[in-house]
Amino acid sequence: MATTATINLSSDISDAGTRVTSTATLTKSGSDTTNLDQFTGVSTIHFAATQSAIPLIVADSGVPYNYADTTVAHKVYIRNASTSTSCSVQVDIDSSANEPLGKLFYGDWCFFPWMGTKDIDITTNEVGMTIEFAVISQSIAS
Amino acid sequence: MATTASFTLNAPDFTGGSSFTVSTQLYKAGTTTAIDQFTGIARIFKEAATNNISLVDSGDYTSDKAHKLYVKNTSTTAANTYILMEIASDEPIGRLFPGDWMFIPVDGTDHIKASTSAAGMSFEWGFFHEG
Repeated sequence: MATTATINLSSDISDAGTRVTSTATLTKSGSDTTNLDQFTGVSTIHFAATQSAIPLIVADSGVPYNYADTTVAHKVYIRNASTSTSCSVQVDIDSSANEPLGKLFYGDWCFFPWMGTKDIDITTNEVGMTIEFAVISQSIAS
Repeated sequence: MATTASFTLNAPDFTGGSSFTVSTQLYKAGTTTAIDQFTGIARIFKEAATNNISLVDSGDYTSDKAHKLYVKNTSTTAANTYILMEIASDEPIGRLFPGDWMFIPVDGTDHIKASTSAAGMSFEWGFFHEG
């Protein structure tokens, strides 16, 4: 069976309303049928102290995942599982440049493709925050 | 006024990959006030491979907010074609292959752009923002 990721968006910002449902079947780069074959599981981390640009997902970790890069279809899921309105998790791309993607406020989640070339860092703004994350990846480049 | 974004991951081939769903209301940064601006869902078709299609121009939005961006590759082109998503000065986020989608927070300090790798590709996108 394949791994699937589904988004449901529902909004009444516009008068007409917006409903979007989309399901992606997570396959390797360049294939409609070969499934991604690695999964970190959904990890939960509780940070006793605030964190500043710490690598959450490391491109060149070597072990245990040794992420292939560039011609890949890795996917990343991150969620701010904290419960305070003021808690935020800044998600950055690249441990050197720290390009800010954006902030996940409490309960917010994100899901995006990742090329495995640059680390994904996070910064938390309060003590006692909790995040979830997972990587679904392919073992070798296509 | 409310916007809800739900995510379901089903990974039955993996131990611990049982289906789960999380849901969030899109609020303004650090508040419980609903996000109140939205571009709508737009669809773009490119006859030729096209680089650096600007989706979010940092100059148009306030920084350090709780903006959210949705993008889906709606192409029916070959499996090895993709839409390269980048932030700032060509910093790669990742490749969306046909059928792939992404939903990310946007800080508003950098541009976000898309590049199609082949002719005849299309994608749809929508931006929920605070102005």
